[in-house]
Amino acid sequence: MRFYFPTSDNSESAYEALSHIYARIMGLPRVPITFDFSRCMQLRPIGLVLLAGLCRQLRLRGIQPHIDIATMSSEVYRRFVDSGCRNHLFIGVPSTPRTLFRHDEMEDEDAIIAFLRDQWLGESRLEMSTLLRDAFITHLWEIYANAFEHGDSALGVFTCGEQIDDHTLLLTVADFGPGIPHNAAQKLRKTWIPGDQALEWAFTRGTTTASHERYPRGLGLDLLREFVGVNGGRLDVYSHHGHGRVEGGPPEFRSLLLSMGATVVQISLNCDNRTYRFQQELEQALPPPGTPLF
Amino acid sequence: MRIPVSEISGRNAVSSKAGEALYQEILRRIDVETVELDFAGVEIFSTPFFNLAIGRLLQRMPSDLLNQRLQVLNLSPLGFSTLRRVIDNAKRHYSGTSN
Repeated sequence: MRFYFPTSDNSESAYEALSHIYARIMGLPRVPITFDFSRCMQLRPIGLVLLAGLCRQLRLRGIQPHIDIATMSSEVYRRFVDSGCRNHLFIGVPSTPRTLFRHDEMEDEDAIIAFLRDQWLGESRLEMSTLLRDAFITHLWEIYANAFEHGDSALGVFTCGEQIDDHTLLLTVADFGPGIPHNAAQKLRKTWIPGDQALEWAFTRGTTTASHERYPRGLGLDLLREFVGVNGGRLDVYSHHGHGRVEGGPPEFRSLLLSMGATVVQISLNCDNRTYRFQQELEQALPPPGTPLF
Repeated sequence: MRIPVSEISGRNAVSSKAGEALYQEILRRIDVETVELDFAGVEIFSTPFFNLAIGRLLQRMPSDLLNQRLQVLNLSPLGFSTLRRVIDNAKRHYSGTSN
């Protein structure tokens, strides 16, 4: 059966189009599946991580998906190859230098942080201080901490990075766990809650979708929201049928018609004068010696 | 007693496993002596790490006693900012004001 992979830019409609494909594929019995890219005008990180995740899900069901490269435009093919996604999906193709694509089945923090530091940030054209670099990584780790805690370990976590321009970097991380709306509904002892309400709840400081609360937690999304606000970047969290966005103001939440079966966190960060103000604020935040910690 | 945190976590103090290991180290000592956590060599921090290692100490001991018994050394501005947030959240959590 042939599926037309949709144009995958960084828009909500791209996520919804991908959700449509996902719902149709997951509802099928075991039939051969071909992805046709003739209607795909762009293949950005959100499309790449979801394509890789879909292929892995299909393989786990015993279906070998066929990616019809001949249907890709030159631009889509370039993205597919340069991102490192092709190397991930195909065995025996020449390796791509400087890949910004990765798949982690387990939480290997040193390897992921090395990737963020040495490849995603290190090979970008952006210049930044060590403090700022570490601040980026510290905040981005919260995405991975959530993904590994709530994700499906059989599928793992998919990452794709991209440099948008001389001042902006993009990172997209996807997991295929039960998702925020499901976990939030369980936590609130409901059978189902709308996507916008689930995402709004998850963005609230101190709330957590973890199944047990033996210790305080629930700061990850709140920390990211604040960091993106200071940085002037953008944060999108798509989780099943909910979408939350932070960009230059209070977070906005929307319910989506279809569920992708995934949680995708996409963050774009700026490296311009605003980041240096952030660095100064951080340096001034150290209290005088002797200040009580608790 | 000084605990070199980097010997437990490496340069990335982010995993729950490392947070749990540090918490157990602290627990072994804090009832009988002052504990100094030395963060020299640690570059990256996470809220899950601090939640497990330090935040939940508030469940066992009151703030004023923790201020006497637990000190942090060589913690970078980034680490301090992350820890500050974790402690504030833990206080809300254990006082029953979190969600």
